[in-house]
Order: sequence, then C-alpha cells, then structure tokens
Amino acid sequence: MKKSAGAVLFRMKRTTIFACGVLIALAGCGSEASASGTSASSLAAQEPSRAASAAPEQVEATGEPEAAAAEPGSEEGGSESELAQNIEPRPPLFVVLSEGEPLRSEAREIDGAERQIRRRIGELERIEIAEADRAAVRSWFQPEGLVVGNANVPVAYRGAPIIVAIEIAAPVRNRRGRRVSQGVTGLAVFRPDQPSTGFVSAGPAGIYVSSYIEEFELAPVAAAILATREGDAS
Amino acid sequence: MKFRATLVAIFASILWFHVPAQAGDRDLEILVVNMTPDAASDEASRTCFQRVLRGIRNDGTHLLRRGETGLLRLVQRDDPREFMSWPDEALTDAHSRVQTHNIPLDSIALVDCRPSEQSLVVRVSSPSGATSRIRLGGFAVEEHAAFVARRIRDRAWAGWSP
Repeated sequence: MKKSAGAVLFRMKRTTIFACGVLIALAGCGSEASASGTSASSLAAQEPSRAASAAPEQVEATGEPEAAAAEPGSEEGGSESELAQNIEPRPPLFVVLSEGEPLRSEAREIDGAERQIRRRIGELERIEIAEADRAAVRSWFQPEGLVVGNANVPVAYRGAPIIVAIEIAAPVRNRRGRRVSQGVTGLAVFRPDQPSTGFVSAGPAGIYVSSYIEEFELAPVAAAILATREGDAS
Repeated sequence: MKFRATLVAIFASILWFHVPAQAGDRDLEILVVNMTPDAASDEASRTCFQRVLRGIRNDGTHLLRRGETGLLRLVQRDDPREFMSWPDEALTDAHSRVQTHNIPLDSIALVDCRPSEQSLVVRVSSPSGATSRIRLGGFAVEEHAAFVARRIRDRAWAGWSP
C-alpha cells in the first residue's frame, strides 16, 4: 500500500512536471503571439500613407516637431531671403533619380520610402524630374555636390523647406540575363535655399531602398535642417 | 531516473538550438583615421571624432587606428586635404596592405569633423570595392555623430565575407 502510494506520488510528480512544461510552452507561445500582435498593431498604427494622404491634419496631431516644422503654410515667408519672397512656398519635396525604369520591386520600395518619409517629416510632395533638371539633380550626389555650396538646385524646387532625394542605380543583368537591382546609391536631405545645410550620402554601397528607409533615422537630421530655417526667420 | 535523463536531454537540446552557429565568423576589420587638419582641430573636433569612433565600435567590429601620416603612406598619396576626391582604388587597394592575424582590412573610414565650421565629412571604403562619401553641414553636426557612425558601419559591411 505504502509502495503504491509512493508510485502514485511519483506519477503525480511526473504529471505535475509535464503539466508545468506544457504551461510554460503555452505561456511562451502566448507571449510570442501577443508580441507579434503588438508589432502588427504598431505597424498598422505606423502605416502612414492613408493617414497622411487622407487627413494631413492628423499627421500634425501626432505632435512630431518635424511635422510642424515642415508645415509649408507657416508664415515665415515675410522675413525670408529675397529669393524665398519671389518663390511660391511648396511642401517638402521627394525626388527620385533613377537611370531608366526602376524594377517593379524597386518601385514598390520607393513607394514605401515615400510613406515612411511622409510620416517622419509630415507633408511631402513627390515630383518627377524634368529632363532639363536631371543634370542638376545628378550633381547633388557628385563628390563636390551640395554641402560645399556649389549645388545646382532647379528653380522649380526652391520654394520647398526641405528636399529629400534618393538616387537609384541602374539595374544590371546577371549571368542569366535577368535585371538585378543595385539598390540606393545616394541620399540627400537639404535646404534648397541653402544647399550647404544638409546631409548627403553617395556611393554604391549596395544598400537597398527598404533597408535604407527602414533605418530612416534621418528624422533628427531633417528636424535639425528645418530648425535652421526657423533660426533664419528669428 | 530515466525520466530525469529525458528531461535533461530535452533541455540540453533546446539550449543547443538556441546558440547561433558561429563557425568561420570573424569581426569586421576597420581602420579609422581622423582627417581633421591640425589647423582646424580643437577640443570640439576631437570630441566629435571620438563620438564617431564610439559609434563605429561595437561587438562585431575590430577597430584599428592610424595617424594621417601613416595613412598617406598606406594609400600612397601626398595631400590629405584631397581625400574626398581620391580614386576608390587608393583606399580599396590599401585593404590588403594592413593585416591583423593574416586578415586584411575590410574597410577604411576617413573622418573630418569640424563643429566650429558645422561640417562633418566622411569617406568610407567597403569590402565590395566601392567607396562612399557622407557629408553633413550647416548645423550642429557633432550632435549627429552617432547617426553618421551608423551610416559608416553600414557601408563598411557592404560586401563583407568571412
């Protein structure tokens, strides 16, 4: 009797341990599920395109300082330079320089990048580069472009408080003859009225649009650039 | 007893699968040089450079340091002020001239930070054989040293292979 009670106790222990194991496993799955749920919901919350395009005032309501700073309608034109007085204010600009037609995957990533940037800096207008302006835009990514102050900014771009430009390398053909993306080769964020104020990165680093923009931590840099405008106004 | 052994085996196998494989793994070998000219060098520029350095240094990075004179000898150039327009090969060909335990350099990062002039300029070569240029200017650049350091790290890893 005593022996059988011991056996029962041992069996209970096994059962208890097993049950604990199952519970721990379930708890693990649960927490993972809730974690992925959180990220999914936060991603949904971060989904910028619809919110930004449908209701721009909601972007302002997020309280992001750069969103407010990027607001092109703000009255600072009066104390701007002569140039700014003559040029119609525009929203921040998004410019994509690519040689030839981007791949479909690149086009998707560029769209994603645009949404990300819009979420970061508020309003954003994407513009197609006119043929006459291509050389000027290309010069932004040249070794002596932009920050040294000899940048060539087309007149049509000058009313914007900030320009975000991406350069995409022309795809190359692999051994099977398929076109393969070379990724982003340049990124420029600057003030068109004062091109030496900005950030430029250029070079075939083999970085793809998505990874470039995923880590689009330019928000502080963009905010710093926009803050220089406020400094000018005061 | 048998049950306990089974439990131990299960936990051991769980632990085993959670340890990432690291066969053939090694750090990124990166040489970082402060290219700020002596005339423009001050406390703020040195602090800025140190911030960039701190940002580049992380677990997977083996940082090497060399002075400007040593770099010029390495890349076989005369004028350090021209470093942004040196041909890519000047840097990438130099990768194999510096070796740590028979491992050549993966990247060379040249940093010129001048907070007093609101300018931070970087040239970085990558194992892919390309080089990138990064320029930041017109505001308090030293506050964005960590941001630039991350961009340097990204480019330094491009095309890396153990």
